[in-house]
Amino acid sequence: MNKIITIIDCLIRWSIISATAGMMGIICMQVFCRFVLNNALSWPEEAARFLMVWSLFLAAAYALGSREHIGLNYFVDRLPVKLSAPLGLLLHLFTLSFLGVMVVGGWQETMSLMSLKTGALRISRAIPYFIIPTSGVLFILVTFRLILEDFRKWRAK
Amino acid sequence: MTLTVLTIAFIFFVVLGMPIAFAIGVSSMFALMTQDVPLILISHYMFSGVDSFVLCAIPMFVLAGEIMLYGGMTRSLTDLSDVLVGKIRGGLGHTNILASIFFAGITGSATADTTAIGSILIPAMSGKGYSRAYSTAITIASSVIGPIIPPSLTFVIYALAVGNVSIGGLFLAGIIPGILTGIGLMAINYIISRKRNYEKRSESYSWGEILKIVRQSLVVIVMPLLIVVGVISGVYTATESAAAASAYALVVCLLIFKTLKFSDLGKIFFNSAKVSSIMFLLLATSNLFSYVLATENVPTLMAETLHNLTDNPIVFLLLLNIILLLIGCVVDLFPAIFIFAPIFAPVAYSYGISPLHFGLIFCVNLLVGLNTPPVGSGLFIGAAIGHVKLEELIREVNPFIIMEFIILLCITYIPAVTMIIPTLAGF
Repeated sequence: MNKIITIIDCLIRWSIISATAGMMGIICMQVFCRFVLNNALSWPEEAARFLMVWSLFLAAAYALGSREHIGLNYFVDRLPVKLSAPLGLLLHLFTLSFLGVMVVGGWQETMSLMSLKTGALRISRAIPYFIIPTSGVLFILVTFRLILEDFRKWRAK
Repeated sequence: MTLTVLTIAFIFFVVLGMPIAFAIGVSSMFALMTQDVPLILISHYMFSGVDSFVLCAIPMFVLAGEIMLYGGMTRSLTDLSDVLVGKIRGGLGHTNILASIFFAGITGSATADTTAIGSILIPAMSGKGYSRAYSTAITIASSVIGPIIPPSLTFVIYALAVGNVSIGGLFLAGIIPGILTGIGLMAINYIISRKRNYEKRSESYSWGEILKIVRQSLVVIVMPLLIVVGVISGVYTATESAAAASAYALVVCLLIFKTLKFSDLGKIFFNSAKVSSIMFLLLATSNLFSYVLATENVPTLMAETLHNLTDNPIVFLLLLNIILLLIGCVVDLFPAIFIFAPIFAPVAYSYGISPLHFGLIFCVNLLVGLNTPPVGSGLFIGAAIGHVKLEELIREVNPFIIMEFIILLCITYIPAVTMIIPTLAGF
């Protein structure tokens, strides 16, 4: 089980890395084509946009896992663990309900976009949009892990 | 009803420590539940808010900043600053401020600026007899300068949020206010350092060393110039310029400085994606929030309320200063710009304030709000990075914040401060 998680983790990590590098490469290539070759291409902007959307929503799941999303922890840190742990659980449950709506809504819209094509790349518009349900599921998994972490901390006290 | 739910839920979740991106999302969801609309709108507005080529500027700017940090390019900027101002009383404090001017918040995020410069200079300063709280205070106070001086991601985001404002014009408008802030903070640092008898650098650099540092930092300074000149002349867009600057920094660090190895690249790309994703998710949910505000006619209501209160632009600006400082205390920079700039900008135009001038007022105001005690989020970040108590940090940061208030008032009420360079350049 752990092995599978490690493999998936590695896979996502490298897709984020290559997407970011690809974005830089594609945008630079666009500048080069426009200047040096005097021939602006139509697809790089769209490609960069899709790479960004995919890589950053995926990366946001990692930031969530390491609790790096900005928040106001000042008051919570001053509460005793006995109180802050159930409070944390409550907040996680609210987040989960939001993520659930995001996944369901995202999935419905992805399906409805299936047959539509994007302007420049001529791929299905569902492909970029599919990141919404995908990242939503990842966020949910990560949130469950955070709840587990909190629970262990609470029990250890 | 919808608005009450939105506001109460938002404040409730933020105070209890939910990440702000989710607090914005969850409170918008509750607000939408009070209206009779399908919740599929949530994912729709999250996606449409971030699916834009201009926003590719975020990962590209952050990437440029990360490469500078890991490749030691930030270091050569702090070295150059030390050569220039280290000999004045309070030397390392001045170095800290000047480095913020040079570093010019490539990332445009005050947090990244605080981390990049703070990680080098806070230990150095406390090693030379400054208190840790003072070193941190000066770092977060000067982090305001970076996003004002071009190139600045903050202005790119502002231009995207408001529409029909020129990014190049905003860049030019930021130059004088940024330098003014730098000078103001240095003056405060000088006065305090005299009083507490803080160090100044006693040993001199040899000419050989100076030449080496200058040569290195020239290579680095080309990078922000590449962005600024390109954008102002309209050769390429802000997004393209940031990608080009990242590529330039990569080549310099890999081949000329040899401070980076190819095996470091994975970590750098991953980190910059992660840092950008934090702003990115905030923008995604902010778009949902804006949508809720729009359905409730908040932009129109706000305009009417302000116009009923006063017809005088000066009073309006004063009100705006206070509102924005309060907003900057709770909401992070980019979501605040994304949500509130489109609401306030048209109102400001109707008072006869020019778009560039208003952009500067708006952004500087929020930036100062980030560091304003007692709840500015910049303070919490600073306290964490510098490992100091919040209370001590607040005591030390106060004189700097007062200075920033004064400069904010100058920017607000003397339009020439911001407008002179853009006007000369024909914007």
